[in-house]
Amino acid sequence: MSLPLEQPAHLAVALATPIALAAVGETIVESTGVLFLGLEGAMLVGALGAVLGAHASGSAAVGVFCGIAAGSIFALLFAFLTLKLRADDVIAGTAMNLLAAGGTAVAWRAALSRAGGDVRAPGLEPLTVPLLSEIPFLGTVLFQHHAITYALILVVPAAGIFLFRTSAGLRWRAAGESPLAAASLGIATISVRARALGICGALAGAGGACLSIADTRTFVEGMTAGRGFLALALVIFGNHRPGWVGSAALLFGGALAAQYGFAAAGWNVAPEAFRALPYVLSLAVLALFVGKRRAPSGLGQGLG
Amino acid sequence: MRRMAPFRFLACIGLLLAASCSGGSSPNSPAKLHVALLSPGPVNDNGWNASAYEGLLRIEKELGAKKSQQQVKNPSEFEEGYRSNARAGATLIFGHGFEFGDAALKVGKEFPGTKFLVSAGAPGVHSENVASMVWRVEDAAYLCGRIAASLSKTGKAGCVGGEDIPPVRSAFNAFEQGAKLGNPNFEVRQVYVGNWHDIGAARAQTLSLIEAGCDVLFHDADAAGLGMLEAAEQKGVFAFGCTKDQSSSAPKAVVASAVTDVPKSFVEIAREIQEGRFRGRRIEWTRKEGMVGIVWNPAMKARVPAEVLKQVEELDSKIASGSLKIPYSAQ
Repeated sequence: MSLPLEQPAHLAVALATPIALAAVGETIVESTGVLFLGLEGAMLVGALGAVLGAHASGSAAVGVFCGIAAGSIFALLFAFLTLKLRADDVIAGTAMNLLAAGGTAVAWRAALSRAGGDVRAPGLEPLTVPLLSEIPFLGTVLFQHHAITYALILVVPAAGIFLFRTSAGLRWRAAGESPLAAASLGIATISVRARALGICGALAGAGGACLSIADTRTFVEGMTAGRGFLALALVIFGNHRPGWVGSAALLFGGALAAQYGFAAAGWNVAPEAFRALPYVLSLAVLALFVGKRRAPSGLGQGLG
Repeated sequence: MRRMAPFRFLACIGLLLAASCSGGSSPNSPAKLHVALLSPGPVNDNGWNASAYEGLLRIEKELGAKKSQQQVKNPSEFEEGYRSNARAGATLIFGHGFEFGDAALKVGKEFPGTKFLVSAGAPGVHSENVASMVWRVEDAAYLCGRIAASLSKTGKAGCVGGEDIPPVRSAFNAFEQGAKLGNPNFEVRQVYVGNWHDIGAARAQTLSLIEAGCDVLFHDADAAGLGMLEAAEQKGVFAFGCTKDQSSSAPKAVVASAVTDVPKSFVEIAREIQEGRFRGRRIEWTRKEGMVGIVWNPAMKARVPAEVLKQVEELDSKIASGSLKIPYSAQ
């Protein structure tokens, strides 16, 4: 017998996972001063990479690594455009999203026609954590997910500690606050930013993999459906603090689960209002509880 | 920076032009059927657009017609799509979606010799040379609902729609009426994804429906519907496919699918034109013409009680003969 709200809370965590992964990745990259608008594209590429990798290898774990690699390579392409060729962050990011939308569609169709119309990947099975999953309520909510969610639970505090409690994190943030000053102190700004992008792409790719092979086992053109853009917004709401950003994603997932719950319960009085609920609620809570906004001052300013 | 030699640049442009023109045609003899398809999405979406393209290929094969196909995205391209194909000598142009209605009526006046077809067109979208056709998936959804009522233990079913539009709502209402025939207290919950491709959201919404006690599921959500099938398969509840036979997508969940034979309807219309029988009107393809029906998943059919199978067969033949009319709500 499950406790009330146990299943919706479990669903909230599952819905938050892909968005939170991408948002934490973006938090890291924005801390080093790069505005990576290609987040949606990185998720989409990761989603496709995961399905194709899992399909070709027959292993979901290999699929996840392919998704992570695809997202990472995608973000490094952006690094090449902006750090090496000095393209504008906003323009390059937008172009990368278009490239991902078109590129994944073409690749997916090619894969479909080669496989004879149906590509089904082995799905990532949920892992129940021994002992911890026995805890009433929290056990079900947090410890009966697939591996990507557990990775997220570790990544959020790890990102916070790295950025704000280590000297390497301080150097990364220095590259974001003032790349010129950082460079004058011998910080290799370009290399820092490229590494941050690689990590961000990997996290967004993992988020995409979560959507495609953990949740649904197949790819659909445009299946990320704006989650990458949502993650971009959550970074701002979460004030560039990994903990806050992760919480914001969880809150959004919770509101989404609540909306689905209301609809499933047949409360169809004002479906449009319910559909707006996750957005309105996230905005309201974050506006009230997150302190003064502060973005890295060198964000999107190139190399100074 | 290396520069591209001018002649190479021109050659590229030339190639592009040649490629973009290859879809068009040279004037052909009036006797031969030339059919064009304007599709709102990619023709390999394994759904709505794929079925239309399949129809086009069958017209080419069975009636020896010349074919051309073009993907048009936004309303500004609809009229131009119709015009360019009509100018290129097309005798029949399909606009595959109700959004093509206004453009078909307008361009239809400019090209009285060309026939225009609007799929899922709104009522009133027809003139001398313009016809619209709708597929009444309700005829099959009704039967799925009847089967659903016999399989459900909780007396509750969930329907996952793409967008909340009249044809989808109408299909779900027919499903509900079929279910109420088996169990007057049967409850059907409708939820909508908000688009046709967010498979993850469709899956999450399905999980919520299952959590709320729905143990039979139906969808009309195109690609997003795969998310519903996935959740049903994982949670071990029954499901019904839509548009195409979807038993391969969830072999342990799908009992039957409500299918529409879009390709056959396309061939039918092309044949009318070839034989000179065509007139502009609103065409309703139903179970009666064999354009709509249910396809069982053979592996799951045994789960349905024998007396229900018998009743479904009887209802099906009544719908096919026209003695039982399934109400089409809205639209």
